[in-house]
Amino acid sequence: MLSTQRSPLDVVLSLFLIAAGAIVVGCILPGVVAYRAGVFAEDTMKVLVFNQFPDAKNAMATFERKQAELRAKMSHIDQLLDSPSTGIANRRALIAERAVYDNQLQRAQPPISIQPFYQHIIMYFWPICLAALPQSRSLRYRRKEFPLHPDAHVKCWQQRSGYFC
Amino acid sequence: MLSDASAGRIVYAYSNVDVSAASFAVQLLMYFIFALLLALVWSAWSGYAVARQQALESERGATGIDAAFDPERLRRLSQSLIEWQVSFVVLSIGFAIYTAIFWKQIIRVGDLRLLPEAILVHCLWWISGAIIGLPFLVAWSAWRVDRLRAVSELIHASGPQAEHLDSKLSALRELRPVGAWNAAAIVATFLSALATPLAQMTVKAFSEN
Repeated sequence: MLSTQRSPLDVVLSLFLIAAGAIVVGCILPGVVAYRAGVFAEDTMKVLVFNQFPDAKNAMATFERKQAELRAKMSHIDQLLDSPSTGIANRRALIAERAVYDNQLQRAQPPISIQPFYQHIIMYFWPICLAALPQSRSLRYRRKEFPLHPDAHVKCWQQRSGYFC
Repeated sequence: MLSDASAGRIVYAYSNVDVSAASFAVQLLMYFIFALLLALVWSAWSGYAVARQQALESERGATGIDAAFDPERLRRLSQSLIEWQVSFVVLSIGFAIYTAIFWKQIIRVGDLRLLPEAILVHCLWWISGAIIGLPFLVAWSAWRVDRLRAVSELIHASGPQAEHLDSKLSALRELRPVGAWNAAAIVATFLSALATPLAQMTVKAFSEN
């Protein structure tokens, strides 16, 4: 007999332990390190990046200033449109101008991208990857009962560690 | 081509060594753990395949007919197939996300610097799937050899064993622990799983343009 069946409870417990270990190693550990380093959330990381990289701070300030200018222009146009003294021809031109500003505002991308740990794809990727890799061997075999035939001469230290086998 | 960044934005990621050396070190640790687990999975499954091969050889029946019709060997063959399918699906959960991240950057963002790593990870996925399938392939190959032995024994049989030769050969021919359609479905699943991230990102890239 090559394999030994495990009880469903054993399998579920094993899957749970691997998943819990993967969450601790793949998510909680990097999260704690990121939190202590100030790169866990966007606001703290932004302060850190701007302190370390003045060019990034200047580029972002320039971008935000341009964005504010566009918003101010749009706000001014809105005021003109609300005014009853604005003629129909002017109104059309103002609406077209406002659409151009609105388009610029929507399409503009910040010159820098700050990517903290929280909600980053890596936050989800490592726990899933670290959990998925060892799951396959835990599904069928009992610990320390690696399905090695007595006549086989295979060096496999995992059979003694019992983690994968 | 592989070293030029054409995008106009500068990314400050939390794991960048210039931003946080500690997070960079943790990221390296994650890659080390990933590589270690992958090595253990490869080692465990290849060891399992060798063990299975030796067990099959030592348990081989006195005659090919005994071996080919041994219900335990047939059950083990079917069981190996299910193990492979389940294990490959579980393994693919991690690899699909991993490769999708890279192909998204390459196909949608156009950052070709990640191309070598994307190809490497895809190859690791492919190799891992093949290694996980080794125990099944060993059992499948052994059973085919047993069936050939049985056919050979029946053809050369004489006396009472030679009776009902056609029906015995027909029974052997009909004996298929893994059907052709099942095998084709496995291969199709294997290949489509590997191609899915590529296809998905390509379709998205075309739909956005």
